[in-house]
Amino acid sequence: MRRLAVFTEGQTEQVLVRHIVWRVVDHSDLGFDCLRISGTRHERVPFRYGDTSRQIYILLFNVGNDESVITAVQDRKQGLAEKGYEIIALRDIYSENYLRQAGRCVNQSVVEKMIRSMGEQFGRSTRGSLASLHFAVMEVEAWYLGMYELLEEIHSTLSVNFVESKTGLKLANLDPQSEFVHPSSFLDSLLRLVGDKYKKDRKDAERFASRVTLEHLRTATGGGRCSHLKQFLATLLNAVGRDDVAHAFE
Amino acid sequence: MKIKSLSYAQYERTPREWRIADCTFDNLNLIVGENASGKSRTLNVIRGLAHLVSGYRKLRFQSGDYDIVFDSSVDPHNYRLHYEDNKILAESLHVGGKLLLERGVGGQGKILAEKLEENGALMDFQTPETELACVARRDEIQHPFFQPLHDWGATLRHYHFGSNLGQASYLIHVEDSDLGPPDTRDENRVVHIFMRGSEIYGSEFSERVLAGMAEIGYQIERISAEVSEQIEVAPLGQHPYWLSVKEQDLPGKTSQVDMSQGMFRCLSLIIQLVYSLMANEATCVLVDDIGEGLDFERASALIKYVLASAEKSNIQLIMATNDRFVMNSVPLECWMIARRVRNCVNYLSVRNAPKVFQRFKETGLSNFDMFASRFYEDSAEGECGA
Repeated sequence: MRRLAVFTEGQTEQVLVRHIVWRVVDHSDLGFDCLRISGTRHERVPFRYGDTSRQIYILLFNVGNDESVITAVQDRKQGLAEKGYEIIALRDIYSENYLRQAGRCVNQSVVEKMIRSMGEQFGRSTRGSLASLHFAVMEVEAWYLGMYELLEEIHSTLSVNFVESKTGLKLANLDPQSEFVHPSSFLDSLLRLVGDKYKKDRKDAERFASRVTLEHLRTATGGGRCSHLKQFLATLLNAVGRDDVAHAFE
Repeated sequence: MKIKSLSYAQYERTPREWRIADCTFDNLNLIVGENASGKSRTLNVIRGLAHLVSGYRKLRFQSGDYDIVFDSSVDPHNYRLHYEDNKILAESLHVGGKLLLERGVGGQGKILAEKLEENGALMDFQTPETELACVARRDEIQHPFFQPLHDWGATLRHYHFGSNLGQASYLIHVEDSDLGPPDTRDENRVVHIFMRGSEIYGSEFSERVLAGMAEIGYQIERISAEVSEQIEVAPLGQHPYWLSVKEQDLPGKTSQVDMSQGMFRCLSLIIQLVYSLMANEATCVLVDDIGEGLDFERASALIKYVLASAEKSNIQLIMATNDRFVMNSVPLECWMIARRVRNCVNYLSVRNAPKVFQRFKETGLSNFDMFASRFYEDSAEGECGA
């Protein structure tokens, strides 16, 4: 029996994690509940599957986009640890705090400093429990930009060549986590080129995440790109018992 | 004018001594602190001064020593007032560093008379020891420099969100008689304020109130002041007016006595804010215990509404809370952390401890944890002059 609690900063990340788990875990072994933290309450949000009697049961928490992933873990870690849960937390770097320190550009030293200090705090907050903190640099949409073939599946015109012709950027060669300060805005601007848009709502979260395959994840993390996605996947896949797949991301 | 800094002491050199040291303000301020840390008392000190300098209240307090600096569009105003046993011992006003008023024991002093000589001249004066010179000598021709101080005091509003904010107060009013202006400094006069607002501003007033309530999550179709048949005021036998709302999901109306306390507090605060803003009657708003009794969604929405209203109207807002939801909804840049060491309260903010706040932001914790973990206690050493 494995118990896993995944805390994400927002809905987009929560939906992505749910779809990845759905792809890699045998459905007869899987149970999960999705929750949104609202103040001190937990609201059930789509979807739920199976129950706690399954071999792998996962609680997926969306903490509600207010930079409070670490606090949410801190508040619940004792209860979760007592029930045998492993905790994985995922948060963005793009935030008011980042913008104040670095402005609207990717500043690697600020990114590293934030990761270091949040990691230290997380370590202090979760001492004694099995927990890890991961980062989407700058946002989870950077990972979608790394899965460049996925863009073409979303809209047939959005090939890497088309993107290069319109923006001068070679998505297959660049590392999205060091290229885009606000990846969701860039993703929106790409979709607007083909008469679509990216609003970061539930519909967008589902239409992107539901198409993500292990092949897309390998593309995004190949050649040293999206290193934080790679670390996150290694932890997540190990936690759900897919060590065989996880080693490709270690 | 906006308060830039405040120092205050009372009952100095006695066992009752209590002081506020080096308290600085920005436009939007949230005072956070444990119970009995001095949050409410700080707001009361500011309100007390406002009532005195506007002449709304006579000097009736036993002891007080204020040193307050205002930012104004002209020059900074520094006003000092010290009284003991209901007698003023010292009062002064400097504007841009220039002395305009100074008085001492016995009520005697000097005051600038602007129409004396070419550039004005300091003249001797005397006022009763129990009266503030800035009130007793207010004179648009000779001493116009008192006017901004008076206006600040007259337009300061203080709301206690933890109280019933007028839920148990009604208005006795004879139909067709003149309603008259409400005392907007009394937070319990909400029925009168609503009726007066509707009278002066028509339907726009209630529309703005309803829009505010909707922002907080209360869907109300109509609001009105109605004669209450249930309440009879002895010995006159009159039925007072009270507030009544028609909520979207309820078939009938809900009177103010039947509303939940949280809902009525929101309604009362919004009515009073909307009135003050429409009447251009507020320059500084104090709200104690903001968000108390509200759930997460409504506390967060109320804070957003109040902050946005203050920003849009260029009002100085000073709120106090120890509510987690409120703290998480207000940027740390607005925070003033009250720390009481024995009888002295000092405040930690980005202005006097920028490194502490920056270090906290780097932890990735939510705002409330700054307070809950007392993150500032070790880190603040040597930075805040405490």
